[in-house]
Amino acid sequence: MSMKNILVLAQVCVTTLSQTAQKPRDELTTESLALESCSQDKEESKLSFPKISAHPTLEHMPETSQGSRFRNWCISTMICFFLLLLYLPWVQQSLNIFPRVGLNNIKVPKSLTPPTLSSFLSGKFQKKAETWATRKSGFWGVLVRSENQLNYSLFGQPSSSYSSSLAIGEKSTLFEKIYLDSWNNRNRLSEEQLLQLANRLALLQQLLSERGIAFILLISPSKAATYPELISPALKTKEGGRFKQNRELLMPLLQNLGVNVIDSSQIVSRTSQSVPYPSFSKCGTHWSSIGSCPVTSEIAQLIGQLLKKPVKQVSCGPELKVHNYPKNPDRDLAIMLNVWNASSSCEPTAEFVTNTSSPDNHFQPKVLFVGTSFLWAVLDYLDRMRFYSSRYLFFYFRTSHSFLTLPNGQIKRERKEIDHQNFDWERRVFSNDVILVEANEASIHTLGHDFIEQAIKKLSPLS
Amino acid sequence: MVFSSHVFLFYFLPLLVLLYFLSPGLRLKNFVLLVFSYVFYAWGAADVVIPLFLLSIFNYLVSLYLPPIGERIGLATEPKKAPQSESTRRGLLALGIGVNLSFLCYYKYFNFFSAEISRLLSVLGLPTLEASSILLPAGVSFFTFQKISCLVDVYQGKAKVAKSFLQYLLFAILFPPLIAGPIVRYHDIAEQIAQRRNTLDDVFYGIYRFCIGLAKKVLIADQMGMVVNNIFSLPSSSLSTEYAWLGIVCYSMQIYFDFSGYSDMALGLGRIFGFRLLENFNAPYVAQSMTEFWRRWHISLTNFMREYLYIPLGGNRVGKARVYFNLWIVFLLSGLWHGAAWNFVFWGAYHGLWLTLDRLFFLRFSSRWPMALRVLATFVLINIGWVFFRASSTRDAFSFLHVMLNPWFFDNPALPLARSEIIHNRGIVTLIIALGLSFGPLWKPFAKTLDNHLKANCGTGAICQRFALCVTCYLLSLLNMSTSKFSPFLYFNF
Repeated sequence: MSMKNILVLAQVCVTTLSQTAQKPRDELTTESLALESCSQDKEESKLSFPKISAHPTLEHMPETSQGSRFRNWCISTMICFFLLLLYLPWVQQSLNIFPRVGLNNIKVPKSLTPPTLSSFLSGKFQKKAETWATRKSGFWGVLVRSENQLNYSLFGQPSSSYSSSLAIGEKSTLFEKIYLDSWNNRNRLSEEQLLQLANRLALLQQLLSERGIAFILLISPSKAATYPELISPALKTKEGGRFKQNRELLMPLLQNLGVNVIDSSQIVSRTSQSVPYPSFSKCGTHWSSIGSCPVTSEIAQLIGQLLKKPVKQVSCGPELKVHNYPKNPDRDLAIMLNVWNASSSCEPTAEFVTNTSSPDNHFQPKVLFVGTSFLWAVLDYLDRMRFYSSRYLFFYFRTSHSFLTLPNGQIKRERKEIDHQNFDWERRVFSNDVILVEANEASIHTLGHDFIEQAIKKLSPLS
Repeated sequence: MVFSSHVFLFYFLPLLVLLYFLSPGLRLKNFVLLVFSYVFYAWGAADVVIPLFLLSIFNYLVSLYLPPIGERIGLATEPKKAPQSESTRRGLLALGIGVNLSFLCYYKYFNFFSAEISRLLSVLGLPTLEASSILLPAGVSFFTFQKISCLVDVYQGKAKVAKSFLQYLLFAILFPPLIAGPIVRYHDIAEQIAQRRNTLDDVFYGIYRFCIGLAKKVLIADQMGMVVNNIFSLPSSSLSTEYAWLGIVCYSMQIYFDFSGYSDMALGLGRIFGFRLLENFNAPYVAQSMTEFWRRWHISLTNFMREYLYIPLGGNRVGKARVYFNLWIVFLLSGLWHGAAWNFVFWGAYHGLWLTLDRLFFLRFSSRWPMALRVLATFVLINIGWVFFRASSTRDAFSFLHVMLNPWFFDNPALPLARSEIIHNRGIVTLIIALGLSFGPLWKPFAKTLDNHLKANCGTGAICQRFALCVTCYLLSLLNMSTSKFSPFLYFNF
């Protein structure tokens, strides 16, 4: 339907409405019927039953004055404006007159499958149609961003719903709810569970060392635990901050059992005392270079110690490169906010200028990493310095991301889904020199994502 | 289909408005409205459309033979002395009402009664009935009552039989009030179906009321609903007194703005198409007694109960004891009408009790109190009643009340949620606005402003004000709708 046809149709609507407006209103209105006392009997006025008296204002419905032309013109214009508001989204959806505004991390359904009788009768089609209609609506992106901006700027919250995965703390600091949940002791493990976990990790380390494979456990820090002072009182439960976190209770157990563990929180805490930039970007969920670089350096040192071979080393700073506006992923939460302007949530960040040292005859191990998105920052450094000959990342033990050095020196990167049914443990896991398992301190209760147990079963089926 | 959804606002309504106003003649307009009303209802309850249609046929056929003696009956065009006797007419009326109530009972109460019978049988050690899972179609209580009102009105001669089946069908399925009221009595709307006019004032006023209703539902009721869900999802042992009160006050705001918002939208939509429906609410929370509350809350239901149940039971013309008994019956049935569960019956009985106490002594006793105290006391009593309305069972309701009324639970350390997880900043602001709008009419200038805004006709200046308010409400509602999930009206369940 072209614009011209639409305008003609609108004109017809207005003309039709105008024609009806010229006729006088009926005197008899339904309200006047309702105004008669509901009691049909005068004696009923002494009712026990609540006497229904109509709203006093409804009793007075003055006749429309014949109305000035100007008044009618005003009303017509306003009605047309409202009709425009009503039809414009549909026009935009069909014709894309205005540029579309996209949203981050939100899927828009491409098409709506036509209904079948059963899907319509069961209501499934209607539910899909509602979602489709909302997300395909002509100005959906604009509306969502505007609504989120309203909530963010006026109310200091990421959205009007309670199911958002984001939260806004003090000084507009953004948090992800899972880290706040952990700080609020929502996923607290019992002593028995922690002890069992520590024992399983120690067993895995032992079984791997019998195969000549070094094992390292990396516990990455959580923003909420690192900066609890930025958690506003409204985000704290009564238990929040009152008890020791899982990490604090697990660390002594691991150390007693001799597990090779890197507690990033302590490293990050040491670094923040000497560097004037935060270890976590105000508008990001992951650690910044200030947090991840020293930990990467620690990892490289520990690998060298465990393999008893010279490996490349990375040193962080002292020079810093400052970014006035954080680069992705240091502003990943601000992006997730889907607002027009989240600048108040972001502050300048910095990254260490690194120096790599490559000892003579350095060894490039084959390393397997198993963990979460906190590993990307670490791998960024290690990939760049070509620390390993090959490395795999089992991302949440769901997908495999490889970094392979080919014979011609080129790098090959690949991403694949992990097929758990046909998984070749010998080739993909036990052929490595080092296995590093990472877990964030907020998700120790899901440490390894079942990799630990499966690996132990493969190495020692009777364990 | 929900008025506050994209499907309704950007697909259904634009198409309906286009086709309706382009249709020449009232007959075609009515036909367009009829078709769209069926589409509207089928969207939410497609499997009930055919039974509903068959019920409409039945009701129409019965209504043809109900007019008082001497009036036109059947499909005759000339009035003639009806051969049927009064007893036949009464029998037909009873049959009609019985079939309608059976329809209602089957869809709404079958699960409830079969579960209760099974429970009784299991207590007696007898084999229980097979569990049933009949889905409750939206608005079944509303449109069943509307059909009954038609039969009774025609029987009593208050209104004439619909001139055509099409007109009757339109009354039976007219979509604006179909799902959640106001309950449209046949004699209120019969003539409008046959003849009505659209004026510019009507359309503008209709748009205005619709936008106000949309804002009430989306911006206030839905926000309050989220807080209510957060609080009522907690076990009683984890709840604290202050949050229990917060929860029920938020519920009182939710149910009021949800229901009155829907009524505003229904009134507005009706007005756009030339229908004048009755107001359903009149600032109920400024009531100074429970008796007054029921003059202001869900007025169309009270009208219906009064006209079709209370008066036929004898009304006030019987002895005092019988009057109180009639009151109780009406409110018990009102409770049951709201939901097929004992907590709704309890709610009805609770209100029946207070109305009786009002008549016995409480109105006289409280008349000496300052107005603010009367309003506050009434609001507290209403909120206690709402606990039974919102809780999923009577046991849960009493547990919740126990927390509300027991200061031992104040600042309960077992509360597992952070404040922002129960009510965030926008929720707090929304609650303040909702309370302001609910109690604002106590302040005369506010009441006057509100009254002026409800008037259909106004000067050019007021038109501009309304337009600005209308567009603001519409756009803010649209913003909120774009990020929210499906949110049906509370009273859809009735």
